Amino acid sequence: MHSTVSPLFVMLLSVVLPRMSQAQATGWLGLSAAAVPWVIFGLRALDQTLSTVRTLVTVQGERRLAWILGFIQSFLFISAIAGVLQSLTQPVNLVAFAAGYATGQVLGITLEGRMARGHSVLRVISATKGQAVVEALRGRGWGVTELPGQGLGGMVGVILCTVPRKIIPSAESTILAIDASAFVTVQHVYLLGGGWRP
Amino acid sequence: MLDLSLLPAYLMPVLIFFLRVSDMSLDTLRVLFVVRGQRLLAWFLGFFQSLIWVVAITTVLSNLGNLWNVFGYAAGFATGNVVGMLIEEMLAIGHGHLRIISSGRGPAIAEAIRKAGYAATELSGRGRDGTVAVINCSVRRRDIRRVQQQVNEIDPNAFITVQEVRPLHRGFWRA
Repeated sequence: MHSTVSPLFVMLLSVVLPRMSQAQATGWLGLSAAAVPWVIFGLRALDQTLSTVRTLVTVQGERRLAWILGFIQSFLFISAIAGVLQSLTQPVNLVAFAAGYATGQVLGITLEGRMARGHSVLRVISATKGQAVVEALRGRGWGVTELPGQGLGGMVGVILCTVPRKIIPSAESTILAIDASAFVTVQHVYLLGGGWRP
Repeated sequence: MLDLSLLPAYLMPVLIFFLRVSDMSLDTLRVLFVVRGQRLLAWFLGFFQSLIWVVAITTVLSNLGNLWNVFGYAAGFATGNVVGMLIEEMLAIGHGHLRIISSGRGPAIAEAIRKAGYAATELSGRGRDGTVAVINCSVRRRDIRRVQQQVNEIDPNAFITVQEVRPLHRGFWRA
């Protein structure tokens, strides 16, 4: 990811820098008044999208990537807020700023879902079809551990299955196809070591 | 009030950088305390964080002609974020729940964990190739690595996952 970010960033700088330095003289980034709200919207949306991804990699402890994303994000933010503050008489700029923020949040959530880094543990409680669920999950190539449990109506199977976050939807449909009334919870986990993988 | 425009131009980006580093570090701590319900501390950190931020952003915006200010601001934000990560790792507040799955060495692992002073709960489960031991063990986050090493010494193939938990009632914790 670093290799794709850096050239993009250099490109961005080469466009923004010469314009920022003449900001005082010609108005914000030297743009026509009609273009300003759109550019503010775009900058803000991109800034917030990056912010979501930065939060994600921060939680995962990736310092280098967090720094790069933080730098770009902050740079975009300053450009956008400068645009708004330089023409406070134009309420449309303000609206563009807020709309960009909201849009960036949504884009960020979507992107985060697509990236879906890390692992989760599925805990499946099935009253009668435990064995079949286990076989189906193993058949898809995932490691499964069964525990015997006691529910209101007698013995139940408690099934633990740790999978990459990306395949949770497909694991879920595998489980529910066999036992539509299975109780399925999912929790984020970190892998420390070992395990059976195909 | 603070009038930072009196500063020489070459000092301003440096100052902005450090303002942003400190406000982002405080922010990281604030989030930590918010998540754990420490209202008073969260209030103070939030107050000083936004105070510092306002000074930084006004300095940048009133001196946009000097691009180094913008660089200082962005670099400060990015660095403060990373500093926050380091502080967070150092403090390692909170608890982790370890789940260890071992096919042959379950009792030995539980024994070793208990000898080291932590509590372990064993369950017996079934894996692809027969019976396995599922060992549950909640420890302080800063102790996770030590327990992991102990487990790996006994069974390098043990499957270990860890998740964040919040203890509601004490149970047995290593002092």
